[in-house]
Amino acid sequence: MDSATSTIHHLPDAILTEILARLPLRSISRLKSVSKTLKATLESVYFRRLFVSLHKDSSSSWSLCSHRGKKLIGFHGCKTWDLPKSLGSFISVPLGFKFKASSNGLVLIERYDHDCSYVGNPVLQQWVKIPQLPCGYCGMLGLVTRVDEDGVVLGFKVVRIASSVMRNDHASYTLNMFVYSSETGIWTSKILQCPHLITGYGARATNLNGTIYFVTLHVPGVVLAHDFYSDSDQFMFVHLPEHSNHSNNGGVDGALTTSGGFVMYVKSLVQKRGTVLKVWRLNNDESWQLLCEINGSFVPIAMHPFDSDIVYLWHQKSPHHLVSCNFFDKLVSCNLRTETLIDPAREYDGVFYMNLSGFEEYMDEIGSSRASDWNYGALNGLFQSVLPRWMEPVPRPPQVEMIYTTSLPSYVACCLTEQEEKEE
Amino acid sequence: MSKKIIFESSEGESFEVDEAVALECQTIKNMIEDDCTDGGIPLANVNSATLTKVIDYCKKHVEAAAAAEANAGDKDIYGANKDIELKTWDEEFVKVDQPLLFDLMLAANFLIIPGLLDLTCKTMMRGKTVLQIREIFHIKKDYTDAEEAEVRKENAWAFE
Repeated sequence: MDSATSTIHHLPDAILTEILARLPLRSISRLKSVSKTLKATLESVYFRRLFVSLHKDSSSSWSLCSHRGKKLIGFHGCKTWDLPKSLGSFISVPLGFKFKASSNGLVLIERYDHDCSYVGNPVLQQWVKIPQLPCGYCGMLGLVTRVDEDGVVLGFKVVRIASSVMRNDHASYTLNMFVYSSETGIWTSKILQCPHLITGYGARATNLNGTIYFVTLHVPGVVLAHDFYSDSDQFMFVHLPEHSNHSNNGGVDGALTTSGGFVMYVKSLVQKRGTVLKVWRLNNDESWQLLCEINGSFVPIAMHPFDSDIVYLWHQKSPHHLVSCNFFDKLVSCNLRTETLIDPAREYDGVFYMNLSGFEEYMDEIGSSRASDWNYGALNGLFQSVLPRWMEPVPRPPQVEMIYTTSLPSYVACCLTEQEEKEE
Repeated sequence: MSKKIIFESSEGESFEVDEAVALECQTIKNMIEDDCTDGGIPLANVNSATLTKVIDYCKKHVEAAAAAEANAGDKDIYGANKDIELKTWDEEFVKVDQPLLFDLMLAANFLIIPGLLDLTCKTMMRGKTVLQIREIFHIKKDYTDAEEAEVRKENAWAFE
């Protein structure tokens, strides 16, 4: 008998479940086509819980892309997913589109003219087309998701900023927003009270647990936050640490990001004794906790999504002479606890990917557009996507057809051709 | 002299191992704690060939853990090097024929050796096609061809 296909008798179902829950999500997805019964087992809550508990010690894959979808850093090959290639190479942004936000494995991309956007899971290759807003231009603010205790995405919301209107008391504003929910499949208006004038312009946002945190040029030195799954009509305001009102860049020279379940603020400050990079964590009581200070001229690139001890930095020794190919000189990851710089390729549990030339191009781009202030949002123009610990199909809004496509760019191109043919 | 534990395979053959090695099996650990291991532990559903392999695995992992502890001072912050040798050993260890691999998996499940269970499960399923899985586990295809194609389409990423 061929050893590869020798058969096993009398295997209890319970043992089969135990075996399968140890496999990565890619194998589990494949097994769904074995039989209906098996598919039902693999999609059961029991199986999901078993899987999550057996994989709780392994990390998940993540990647960092530019807004055009150029992949810059990535970790893949994690035991949870077993991706065949880097997460970044799953994310292909169609021509004329921009990467706008990501949350719990879902990404939001939008066309430059703001008329067309998609939310989807690039690995599962499932996409939902977000309907156009009936009214005119509205700036995109971001994407939020609602998850259950196992990290399963239950729903998402896309948030746009419409307009800010002064109230009758002349002291405060109302901010009109539009929110698209996967639960209803429609855009609804949401009005928030705000003491400041805010527009979508220049807003830089990150999200965590249904809340969007953003800094904007209009309100320097402050983080605005709102939970889009709450009924509140107020913003939460948190002053940024060590913000100077004399700074001429509206307080967005630092960067907001998330790591280990917290919002983080990373900023490079020029002080008398040299340049210092500082990392703060936003605690639940709205206070900032300084996690570390590193001496040296670094541009913060990203934080490790799970391990808040690790930050990725671009070494700013010679920003305009990026000729060296030794990436250890250029991109380092720093362990904040031990204050040691290490070669980022020596990550644990996964395969490390880094596109150094892409990085140099990206840093050059920022460097030339903002030569006077190198720190300006290097991290703000990058998007970190992190895969969740379990695969759940993208939440499907009612009456919306799920798009399955191995390539969103070719799907979008195809739709465009069809539309043009109709118009002719 | 460390305490010895005696296992008895399904063929009635005796295997003497150090207690530390036996402790790798959660089931045995519980028995030792409950003090019911005197006179040997009969393992009626584990044959001699499988038991020999299981003991090899536990021995190696006990040694590796001890070595790692001894070298704890010089390892880098990620402990990057320490696992490579053991991983290679594990890979060699499971290069066995399918029936033995399956017996190892069942033994790991019964004795509760999480590392070995993980290793054998992954090796068992690696590179198997849907057809092979149906054959190995006697699973009847209850999809129509169209239904199967639909499920495949929904999970296309996993077949890349």
